[in-house]
Amino acid sequence: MELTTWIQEHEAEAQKLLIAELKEETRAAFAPEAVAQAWKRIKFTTEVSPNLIAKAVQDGKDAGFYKGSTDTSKLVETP
Amino acid sequence: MKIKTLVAVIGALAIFLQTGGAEEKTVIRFGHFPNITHAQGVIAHALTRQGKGWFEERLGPNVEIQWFTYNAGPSAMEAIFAGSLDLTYVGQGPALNAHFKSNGEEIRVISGAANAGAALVVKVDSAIKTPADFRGKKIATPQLGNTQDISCRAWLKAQGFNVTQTGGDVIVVPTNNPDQLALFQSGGVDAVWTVEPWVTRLS
Repeated sequence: MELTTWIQEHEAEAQKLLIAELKEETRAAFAPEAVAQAWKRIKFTTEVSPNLIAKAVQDGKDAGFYKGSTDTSKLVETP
Repeated sequence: MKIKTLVAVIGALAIFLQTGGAEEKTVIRFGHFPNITHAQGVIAHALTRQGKGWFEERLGPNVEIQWFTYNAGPSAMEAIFAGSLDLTYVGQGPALNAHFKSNGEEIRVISGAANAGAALVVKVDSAIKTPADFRGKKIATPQLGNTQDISCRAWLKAQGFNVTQTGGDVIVVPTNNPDQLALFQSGGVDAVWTVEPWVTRLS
């Protein structure tokens, strides 16, 4: 949670670290403007949305990946 | 002694503690993908690389953080089940799949990390203008069974297409994120369903 908050509050520094690490890991160079643009499409949050989980379960069933029980009552655990 | 495997939805902060002797270092093995939706993992990995580890500073000198990168969720979940990873940032699709496969006993989500950031990309001059135009076309996704792959197949089914793992009305082609651009530009696939920053790289 603390790291997510730091990322939200230090966008420029976070993006700089991210670009450098992506280069290390993939050899792909990402322009800062492109990453800044992509950043806007993402919401950093520690929340686990029940709606997102329900949609993902339905998608998995529709796509044929989940067969049998799809009980998620024990899925989320807060340390 | 391994206590429990912890996983997170589209990334997460996870704490898996292993107790050892006073002189013994505890090793925590983190997984993440080189995606913006895994920014927490990517950035913490970068800080570890710089010797300024985010988690190391908070967990103390007796904890060593090891980082492992994966292209997509199914590979990370295989590593979890193989016992070579303690926790990972991962999308909801593979996390759920692993949770169900272990009958709800092995896998836990301990935090969210990011929402959104995925997209279906077609070329501006593509003949694909409506969902029906995908018939007979090829769509790349990061890996069979990863979150975007599941979303793609579910969406195609909702459009009335019959899609199998290897064929059907629309061909879904699992392709590692870094390899998608060349395939997309060469016409090897007609569309890509993936996640940032790979979406922007295709645009």
